[in-house]
Amino acid sequence: MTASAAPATTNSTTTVRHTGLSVAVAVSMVAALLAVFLYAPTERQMGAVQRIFYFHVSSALTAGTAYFFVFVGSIGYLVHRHDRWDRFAGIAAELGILFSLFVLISGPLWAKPIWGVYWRWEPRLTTMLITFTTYVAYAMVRAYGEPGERTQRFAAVVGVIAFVNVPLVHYAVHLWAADQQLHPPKIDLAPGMAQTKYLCHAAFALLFVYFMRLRLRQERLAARIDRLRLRLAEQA
Amino acid sequence: MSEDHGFAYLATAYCLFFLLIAAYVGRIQQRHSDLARSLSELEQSAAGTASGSESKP
Repeated sequence: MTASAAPATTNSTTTVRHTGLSVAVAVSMVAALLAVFLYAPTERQMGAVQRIFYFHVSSALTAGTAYFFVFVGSIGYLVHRHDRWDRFAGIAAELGILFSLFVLISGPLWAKPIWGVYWRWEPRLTTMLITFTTYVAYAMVRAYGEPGERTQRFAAVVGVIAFVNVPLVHYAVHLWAADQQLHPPKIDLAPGMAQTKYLCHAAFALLFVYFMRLRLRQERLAARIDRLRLRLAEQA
Repeated sequence: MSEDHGFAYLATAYCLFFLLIAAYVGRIQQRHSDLARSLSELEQSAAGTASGSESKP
């Protein structure tokens, strides 16, 4: 391989990988939708509205994973003080907020016909809302803080502390008294429902990886543009 | 609760999911065009700097 051909090959490999991932995301999302609406059996007590469960739970799981990545990125930044850890944490938080927002939208839409109200201050809903607002605060620190090492360090500390909420959301159904709970501690699913749930988890995982890669590439480019701009300003 | 009612909530939830995703994709595209614009501005000013230094004796 010649030296001039190397970058072109790397670019085409990246493009092929990116296209492959886009196709995988599209196919898995269509498969997940077909499974949710056509394959999964209808729940006897709740009826059609129970099908919100599949995207609701997969979104919650993806948001939890994203927040774990914020935690990892923040620890990484505090240890290595390298921008790429900070970028990683920031993008993961953005995706965590996106998927949490859907959890907080789809939850009330499921609750209204089943519980008769859109919202109840029960442990899981409350801890989920607190987690969401904490990560919105984290995003605001990043967006409105003065660009530089100080804001990055402060955001990393917030990113580590905010993660305390995530296990609380998961264990909320066990930590508080049973009479305060509306979410069941354990869900037994029929085989068709369980398969659909796992398919949705896989589709959401692919969607998350796709967005994460895309945004990381964008932010790497943005950082390179900033460096070039700085160098040009120094030369001028 | 009627089945139609349940289906309306279900359809709303799934429509909102894809609306959220579309909004996020729109945001990514906006960022993409901002970066492309910055890059072309940078290229222009780099070309200007290069031609300026060439014309110097």
